[in-house]
Parts: sequence; structure tokens; C-alpha cells
Amino acid sequence: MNKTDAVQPAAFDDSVSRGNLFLSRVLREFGLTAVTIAVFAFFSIYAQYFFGLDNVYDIARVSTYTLIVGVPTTYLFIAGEFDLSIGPNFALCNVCMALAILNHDLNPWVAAGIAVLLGTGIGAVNGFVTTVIGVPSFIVTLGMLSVLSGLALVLTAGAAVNYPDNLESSFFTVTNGVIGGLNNLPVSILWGLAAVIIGAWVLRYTRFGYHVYATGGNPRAARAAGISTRGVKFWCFVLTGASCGVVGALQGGWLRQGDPVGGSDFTLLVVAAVIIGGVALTGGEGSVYGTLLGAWIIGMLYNGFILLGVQSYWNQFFIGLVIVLVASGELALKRRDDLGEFIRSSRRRLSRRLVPQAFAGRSARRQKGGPASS
Amino acid sequence: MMIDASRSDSAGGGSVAEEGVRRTVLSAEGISKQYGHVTALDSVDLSLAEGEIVALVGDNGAGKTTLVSILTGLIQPDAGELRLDSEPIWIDSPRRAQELGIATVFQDLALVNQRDVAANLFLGREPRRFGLVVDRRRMIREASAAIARLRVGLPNVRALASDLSGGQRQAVAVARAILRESRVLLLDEPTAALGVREARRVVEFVKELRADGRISILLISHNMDNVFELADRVVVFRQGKKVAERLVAETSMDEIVGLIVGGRFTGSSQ
Repeated sequence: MNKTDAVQPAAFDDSVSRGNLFLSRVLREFGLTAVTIAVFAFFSIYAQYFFGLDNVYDIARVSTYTLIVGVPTTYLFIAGEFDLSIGPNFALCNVCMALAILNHDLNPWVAAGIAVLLGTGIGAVNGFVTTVIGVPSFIVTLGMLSVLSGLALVLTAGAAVNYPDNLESSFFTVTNGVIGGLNNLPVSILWGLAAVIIGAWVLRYTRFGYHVYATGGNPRAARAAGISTRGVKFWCFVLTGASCGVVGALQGGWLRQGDPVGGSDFTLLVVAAVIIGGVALTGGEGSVYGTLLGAWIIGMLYNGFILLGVQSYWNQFFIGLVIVLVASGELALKRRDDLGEFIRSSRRRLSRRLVPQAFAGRSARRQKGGPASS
Repeated sequence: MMIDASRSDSAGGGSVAEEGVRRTVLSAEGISKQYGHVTALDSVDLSLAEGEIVALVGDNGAGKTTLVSILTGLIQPDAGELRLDSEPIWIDSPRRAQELGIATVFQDLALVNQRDVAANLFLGREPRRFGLVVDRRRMIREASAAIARLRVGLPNVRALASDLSGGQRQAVAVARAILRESRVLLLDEPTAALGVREARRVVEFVKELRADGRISILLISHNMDNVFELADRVVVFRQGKKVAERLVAETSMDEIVGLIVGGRFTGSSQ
């Protein structure tokens, strides 16, 4: 070995790029922002009344519930787990709050507290069975989906439970009020905004957030580095459950009732927002910003189709379609490099094989003035 | 021949002469592990001195991985004692192993692909400000310093782990262990997944660690060239038992290979 070799650092100059994850991530966030703006522009042009503060407030108010649950669900997905019981959890909390008010004359604030505790408890059960007993979360929460929706129906005999008409509480101001000074901004929008800001901050800047990414990205590496991946996953389940309780209470304050079947398509909405937002179901990737855009895209679709006069049954159809399209587009983006390389290499191979025979054809094409391929 | 060259290299490093003087850092005595009727480890002993590189070799199923898992805290032995600085230790979790300063770099390169080099270097012990927010600036600063000091040869600690080459990933994983001021490093097949040039770089990197002398390394490898180039001592496992221990300077590749396969194919070596 000569001297220059010894001085050189153990450098790895011949680095092989592995699909350039960074670039595809930037492109995706940028692309999703562009899609959101495009959807907004589309409806603004084609749907009357879409472009206006009142309507934007309305979309935001609807998206608030999706976001409050969507943010912890984002954590859960990034950590590599899944929750199908979001909707039923929300419905059961919603129903129990109504029953607590109606049958036990509880103050709405106390009843709301019970709803949140219940949701948290359900999340803890999901987390416990998944992380301690070790049942895959898909199965656990599929079972819970049935258990919880069944319970909600049993408790109410299948019918919605209305709050007493004369019930007055500051709780209704907080959940259903408007701020007059801001063109009647619905207060509930603020709760969604808070969920997004706090959620994004925790995921990005705290150790817990770092560990959520590590847990989903490479569980073995995370464990070997001393991160309690079970603990991380457990708390993600608990947060998701708690958020279902919060939304159950908010919805109760808004509609003044407990509806046992009110959460039937809520799971779809939340999961759709998270997936459209770019969270990899395989774990390790995603952002609250993406979920925010995902929730907004869904909110705009719902709202815009109604304004366009499309039958509301089409909503489910289109949301499903968007999920498949976005997921496909994202994969194409990730495979972009592979695809480009594949096309380049096959072109090389083709030309190498075809060149001898192709000469005649090419000169003929040139004479016709066709595109001269080098 | 190549073996002779690497042998004289080790002798030149003075490792044999110092053998008696070096303090034992980690030792395992009578470690056994059963899986049902299968004896994965049968009362094996192993010791690792300060700054020493010991190679652990053996065929598949010889018990190498079981021993590494025990030292990492992933599984617990049925019998036997582990000592660190002559103090008995009980490694009941990967976290405990880390606290004791025993770091492992696994076969499948334990990096989180979706995170950058800095986050990977501080995985599990991210520095914080006010006990709340991850101190990103300090992370970047210290990560850059470590990468420069260890001569990992990375352009930027903000690069995603997925964009690194195999050798860079291996180096980052090792740098993480060193950044944690680990005293014992377990390298599990550090070059198995790498191309020829990348593998070469990792070997050079480990050599620099040896020259540094602050960390003791247990090297698990099938690659005899690596073993003879890097290690001071070779320990051979066969079917859960330690069958031999040799100073690299006093053995040959033929002998070690013979010991690994049990003398069946190279009867001349025993």
C-alpha cells in the first residue's frame, strides 16, 4: 500500500443511489399541494358558490373531524400499525356521551370527558392486544370494529339518542359556536387547526416523533437502538382512540345527539385522508402536512359534488377512486428512477441488437424526413 | 502467499506481544442456550481484551448468532455468566446492552432508510433542548464531526440512509456505535452484503478502528480473508461448542477451515 492510499479516508465514493427517496418525497409533497390547488380551482370554476368564505369554512368544519383523528392515525400508520375501529369507536363515544347526559343528567362537559376517556380506553385495548399479546393490528381492530358498532347499537336499540331540547351549556358554544369577528368562523375549525399544529410539531421535533418514524421504518433497528417499539405503538393506539373520543364529543355538541351508526363511513374518510396524504402503509413515511391536504381534498370532493348537483352516493365511489389513483401515482413516482433506467437500458439493448439491420430502415426514414433518432 | 502477508501485518502491529498486558473487557463463561431439544450453545467461554479484535467463526448453526443475540440482550442464556470489567452483568434488553457499552452492527444493516444520517447516528438517544425538543442543530453538528473524525467519507449527514451505498451504511452503523462511546462492538458479517470495493473500504475502516485502539471488536464472519486481515485471535464454534481458539499469528487459513468443518475435509490439518 502506498502513502496516498493510507491518507485517503475510508471513503465510499462509488455510492450507489437507491431510488433517491429524498427527491421523490419532495416531489410528492409538492405534487400533492398542486393536486389540492387543482381540485380547488376546478370546483371554483365549475361549481357555483364553491369559491366563497362561507363554503371554505364549511369544508374546513367538515375536515376538522377527519383531521383530529387523522393526525394520530398518521402517527399510527407511520409506526407501521393499522386501525379499522376508528368509526365505531367514534360512534360508541358519541352514543355514550348522549346516554350519560340523558340517563344520568350529567353536565355535557363531564359527559364529554367520559367520551374521551372511553375512546382512550378503547385505544389502549387495541394497543395492548397488538403490542403485548401480539395479534396483528388489522385483525384486532377488525374485531373491535364489530364489537364497538354492536355495542353502540345495543345501547341505543339502534336509534339515535337526542339531548334534551332545553339543555344549555358552554360546551355547545365551544363545539358549535361561531366567532362573529372573523366572518362567523366556526369554533370547531380551531380544534382541527390545533390538532394539526400540535401534531405536526410533535412528529417533527420531539423524540417521540423521531421514534415513531424509526419504529415504522425499521423496527429491528429501532429496537436494537433501545427504542421501545411496543411502547411507541401502544401510545399511537391510545392517541388514536383518544382522538375518536374527542370527535365523538365534538359531534355530540354539534348535532346534540348520539348516533350509533354515525361513524359508518368515518373510518374510510380518515384512512383515505391519511393514505392520500402519502403515509406508506408499510410504515416509516408520511407527514401531518400530507394528511392535512388529504383531508382537504376529501372535504372538497364531498362539498364540490354536492354543489355540482351530483348524487351524494357518488361520494364513496370517487373517494375510493382517488385513493387508488393517488397510491398508484405515488408508486410511479417512487419507481421513477427504476423505470427511467429500465427504459434507457432496454433502448440500448434494442439499438445494439437492431443497429445492423436497422440501417436500411433508418436511411429510408431520413429520406422521408422522419425524426432522425441518433 | 496472501495468508503470510496478513500474518506479518498482525505481528507488525504488536498484538501478540501485548496479549498478556491487555485488560479483559468482556468475558463470557459457560454460556449455554437450549431451544427445545436443540442445544444452540453448550457451555462456551469467550473473552475480549481492550482494543482487541476477536473473530468468531463457524459453520451455519454453530451458535454464533445465538451468542451475539445474548450479548445484544435479545435473548437470555440458560446458564453461564457474562462479565464486563470483571463485574457480572445481566443483559436483559438491547437497551441494557447499550447502557453497558455493547453495540451491535447487524447483518442487515440496522439503519432506518427513511431517515437521514444524523437521525440514524443518534437513533434512540436524540439530544434534546429543555428536555422536550430534539436539538436538531446539535445533532447535525456532532454527526458531521463524528463522520469527519471516523473518516466515513460521507458528503452530508442530511442524506437519507436509503441513498447511501452498502459500505456507507455499514460505516454509519459502526459510527453510531462509536458515537455512543461503546466499548465493545459486535460486527455481524460486516462485508457479506457488499461488493468487492465496498467490502474493501469497510475492512480499511475497521483497520482504522483497530489502530485507534479504543474499542474492542467481536467479528463474526465467513470471510477468512477478512478474519485473517483484521483479527488478533480466532475462536471457532462447531455445533454449539467452542472447539478451538488460535492467535491469528500462529495459525493458518487451512487449519481454521479444518476446525470449522470438523476435520472432515482437510484431515491433514489436525
